[in-house]
Amino acid sequence: MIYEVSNLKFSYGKNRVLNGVDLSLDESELLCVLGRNGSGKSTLFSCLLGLLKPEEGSIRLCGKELKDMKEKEIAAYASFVPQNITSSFGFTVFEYVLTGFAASLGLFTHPSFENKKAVIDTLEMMGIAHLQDRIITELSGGERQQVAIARALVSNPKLILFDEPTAHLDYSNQIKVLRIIKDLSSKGYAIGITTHDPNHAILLGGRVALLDGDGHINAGSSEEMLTEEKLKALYGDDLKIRYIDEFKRNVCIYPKI
Amino acid sequence: MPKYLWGIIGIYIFKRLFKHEKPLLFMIKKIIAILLALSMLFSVCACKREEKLNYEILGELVDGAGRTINVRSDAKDATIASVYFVAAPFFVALGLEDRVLAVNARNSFWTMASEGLGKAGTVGKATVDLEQLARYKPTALVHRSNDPETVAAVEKLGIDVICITVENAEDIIKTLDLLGTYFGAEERAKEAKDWFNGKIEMIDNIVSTIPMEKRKTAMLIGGEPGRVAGYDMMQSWMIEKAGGKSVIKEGENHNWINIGLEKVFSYNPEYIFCTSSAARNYTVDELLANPAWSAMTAVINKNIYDVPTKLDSWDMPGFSCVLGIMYMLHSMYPEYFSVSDLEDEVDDYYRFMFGRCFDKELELDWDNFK
Amino acid sequence: MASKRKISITIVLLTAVLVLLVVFSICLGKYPVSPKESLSILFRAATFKEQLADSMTVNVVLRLRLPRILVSIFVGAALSISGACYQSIFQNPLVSPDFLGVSSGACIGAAVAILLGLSSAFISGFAFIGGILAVLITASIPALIKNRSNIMLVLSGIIVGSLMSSILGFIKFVADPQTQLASITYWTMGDFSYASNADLLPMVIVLVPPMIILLLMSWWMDVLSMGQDEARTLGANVKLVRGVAIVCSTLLTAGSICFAGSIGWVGLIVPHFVRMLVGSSNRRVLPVSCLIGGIFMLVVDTLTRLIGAAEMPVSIMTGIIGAPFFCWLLFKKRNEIA
Repeated sequence: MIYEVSNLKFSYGKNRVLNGVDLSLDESELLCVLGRNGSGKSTLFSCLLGLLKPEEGSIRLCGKELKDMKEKEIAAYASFVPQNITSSFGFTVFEYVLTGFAASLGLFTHPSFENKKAVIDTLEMMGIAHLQDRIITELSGGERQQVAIARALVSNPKLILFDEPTAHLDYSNQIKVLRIIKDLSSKGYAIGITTHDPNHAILLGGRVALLDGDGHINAGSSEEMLTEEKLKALYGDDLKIRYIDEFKRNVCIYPKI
Repeated sequence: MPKYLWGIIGIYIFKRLFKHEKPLLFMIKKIIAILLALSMLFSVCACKREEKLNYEILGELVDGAGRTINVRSDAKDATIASVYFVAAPFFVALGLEDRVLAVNARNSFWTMASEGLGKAGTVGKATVDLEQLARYKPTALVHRSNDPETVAAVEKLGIDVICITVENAEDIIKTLDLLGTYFGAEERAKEAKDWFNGKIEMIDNIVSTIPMEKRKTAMLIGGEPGRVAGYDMMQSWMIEKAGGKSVIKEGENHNWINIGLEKVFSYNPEYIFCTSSAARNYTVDELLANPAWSAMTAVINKNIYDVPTKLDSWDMPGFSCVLGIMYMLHSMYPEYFSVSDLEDEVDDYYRFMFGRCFDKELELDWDNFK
Repeated sequence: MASKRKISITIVLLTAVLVLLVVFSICLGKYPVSPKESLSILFRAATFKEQLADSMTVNVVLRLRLPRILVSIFVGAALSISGACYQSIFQNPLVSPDFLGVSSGACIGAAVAILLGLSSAFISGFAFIGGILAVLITASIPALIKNRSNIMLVLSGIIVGSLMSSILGFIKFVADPQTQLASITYWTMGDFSYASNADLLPMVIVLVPPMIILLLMSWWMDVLSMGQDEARTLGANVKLVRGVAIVCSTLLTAGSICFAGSIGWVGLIVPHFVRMLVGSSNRRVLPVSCLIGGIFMLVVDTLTRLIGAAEMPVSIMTGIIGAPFFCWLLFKKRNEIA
């Protein structure tokens, strides 16, 4: 078991965001957290990464209490892909991906030749080796997301958390990134991803957790969770799930605006 | 951090705070309204009152800033305030101490030695505290000649302003005349001028007996060792008067000019005097012990001197510059002007000024004077 | 890797330029010494041979020019590297070494010492303490209002900076205008002219260790410039890395203020210029900043030594050169700045 979360509570001031969240994530499992904007998806991930300290409840990462783990240990198991990578400085793709080794290096050590080779290998594997000397701020959104994923991969984690990886992308790049995620999942990485589009959850398969506005979470298989009534409860709008014969899958659609 | 960066950040915050334009616009209107109301209020208050003069105007004087001042019939009762430290010695020299209501003396010596100045209050240090000045209500403010804003503000209070410029010997005579006439102390002013001219003449006579080949090169340094008294400064004139050859030449005219250590080294004067009229970041002993200075002629012969500060500053533009010149004369040519000569002249100066000497109070040890 | 070879070439080249400039600068000055003589004095001193020139000339070259040159190089390097680090730590390329209030704090420390009439050693000590105190205040404001974001730190830097300048204004107001004011004003403007050989050892002791530490952890500056949260998810011990980096950078800034007074612009423009030259990776930016900072400071100080009858304080010169240069940089980078 990678993550075991029980009775997790977290508030910003008086505003309770997470209210007794129970969640688990197994090895090579894919979990899609669905919720409205501001429902606490990012807060949940921040708690999972140890960036925020929960008020109550426990989080166990690979069998250890998260609050007893150092950043290094957490990072050795879990990598994080932020929503959008920005920088005030013009780092190259290579330099950016290299920072993924932070967990394994000491204060006065620099990345070794092996580390650098691993970066090149990862970039090649992702098919973006040609970007390695480009400045990240000059890349397109899709390329940037790929670079961020490459950085998450170099440290060889068990688990990758994606915070709305498709939020800033156009249609074709959304598909591209979802395909990469699916691919990683099939390679055995445990994956957690937040999104607000039920279709992404359907496309990715795996388990789905619905985070409602009151800070409760409800998890299950995608067939179980992505029903019209549950989605209506979540989004407060009439959403329809239809099975399309041609593609052999469900789609979630708005009947009208 | 460069100021304008704060500006950039400030604008950013400002934009953040007032992202919606309406409140700001609203505020601007409000501010303008308040400003208008205030300005109206002030313009009502500022209505001029004509006042009758209770004295006659006897004539006109031109002060150190080239302004015209009226000579008043009640000159002998005129009271004085000043924040300009250069003025204090003139009040004493002219015997006006008892009429001084407020003064700023550089050196506590002045308020200690003169009963009148000791009793006087203060209306500020470099800048004039206008309300305080109005409270003292002196007849005239004696001020420096490069501060027209203060002059205008003080005149509005109905207080005369007399600007003085003291940069050379001629200025000293002029200032004695100016203040003497305005405050009705012409006789004492004449005595002071005679005393001053007499001393300068005496010094000139001594210097003329020193053969040219014996004349020493010298400079006077200021706040830092690389900053020297410019050629246009009184201090350079004093060196020349004392029979020295100022190494600072014409062209190096920028008040206290930072010519830099290399230039000081290349001038390599035989005598170095250190000012007593500016804050210094060094001492004579430090210079003598500094290995970088070890090859300087003045260091080798230990000819670096503090211009005495225990009394008033002797190298300050003013009456006491006579003593500064004599001190330099004695330092450079002790065989022509001995310690006892200097001691006598110092006593004479203080006797002329205050009617007594201060050897005891100041614990002066003439044997240490070299 | 190609980039690695290129960077070592750059470093070697810049070091050569720096050495050349030192040689050049030691031959220049208002005291008339021929270049040949200067070099022979330097060479004889380096090989412990007896000097042939008269002792005055030797003093000018070895005791005036040499320490001045060395101090200006060290201070330029220290300010530049600390500027580059602050910019990474606070992910803000507009940050400069004195934005945490270090300079104004140091000036206040010095001014207080001057006001109390203490000796010059105390003035330096007070300046150092003042600088560190200012940073502590700046750093503790975000903690007090429980918002540790970078913008909050920048804002508290502004608060402390303006508070400090008010306090400095107050001290100037209280100070004796004829005696103390001049020294205080002078202290707030940088100057290398009174650097002495006696300064060199303390300067090396104060400035070199933090410089080496920062150079050794240069790669971590890349990680820190991702932002605190991201750096933590990457597995960095942010508290430690950030803490060490801030302490070292502050030591460098406060230390250089003690040896030369406060000098603006260098810590801001040199790292920018370096990034244009060698890219953003701090493994290259930090060492190259050191070298270019040293070169820049040396050139500027040599110019102040040579130009005009009166020597200008070096901070005025850096402002005159820095402001238009920064404008040009902003113009070049106008598309990157949102």
